[in-house]
Amino acid sequence: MTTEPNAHVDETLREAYAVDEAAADRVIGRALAARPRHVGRTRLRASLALAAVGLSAGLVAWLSRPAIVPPAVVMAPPAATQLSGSFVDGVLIVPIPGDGVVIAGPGRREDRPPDGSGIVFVEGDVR
Amino acid sequence: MDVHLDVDLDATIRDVGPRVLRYAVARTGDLSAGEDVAQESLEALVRHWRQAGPPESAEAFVFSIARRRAVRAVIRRRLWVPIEQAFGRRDGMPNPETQAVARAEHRRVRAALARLPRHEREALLLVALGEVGTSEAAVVLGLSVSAVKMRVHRARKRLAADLEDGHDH
Repeated sequence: MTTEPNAHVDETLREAYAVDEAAADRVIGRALAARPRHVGRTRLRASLALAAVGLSAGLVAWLSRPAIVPPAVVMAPPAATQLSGSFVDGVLIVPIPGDGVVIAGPGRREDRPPDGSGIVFVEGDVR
Repeated sequence: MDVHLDVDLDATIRDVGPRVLRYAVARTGDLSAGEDVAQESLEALVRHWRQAGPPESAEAFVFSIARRRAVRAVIRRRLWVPIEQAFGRRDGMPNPETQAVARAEHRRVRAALARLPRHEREALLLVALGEVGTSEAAVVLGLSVSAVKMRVHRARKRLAADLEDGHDH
């Protein structure tokens, strides 16, 4: 193998690390009996396929999500009386024109003369 | 399965097996660890051969794997051996490696080998114990052929001088 003058060093090393023949036979026998790792590769492929399916499903779900429709704006009829008011401490105060105001609530209905101003509680968005 | 391929594989394994075992035992400093390393490397060759055909150089293929696995085995051994010693763990069977280490000559050579610079020792073990050709060793070590030759030459000179001096710490 080697032609160098110090080749005897190799021999010394080989003698120092001489391997047991039985050990060598054992290693060779086991290596030759090794089975191909199909299972590992199949698992890898299955995992990749599953990941691809999951990713596709997620993409489809995201693309087909319902569009956000802005709430319909209810416009006042053209003949409606325009009121204007102002917020005072979070309460919208709207002067009511006309002869009277109808106060309607759960179980009662009452007409009152206008006092020149009134309090209107508004539910929903204020535009 | 090609019968000729299997015959070639069998011959290759029987040729490389003892050499890679010797190399792995020297690298790991332990027979059972060396056996594991050699077996895993040879198994890798068997699997590759049967699935994709023979590699360009079976020697370079096996020894490249053995080299990497030996490093891992040495690290594992450094971690586990003190624990095993602390708990007094012993294998039931007599360890041939232990018997070999007990020999004075073996101990002297191992000590001299351990004193070599790491990169020189690595090249020498591949070429001297693994009996790997210089060009294959160059592939395994990722060096040029001339660099491998230089390292092996220096390692042999150093080791020879060390052994002649009878230096043994």
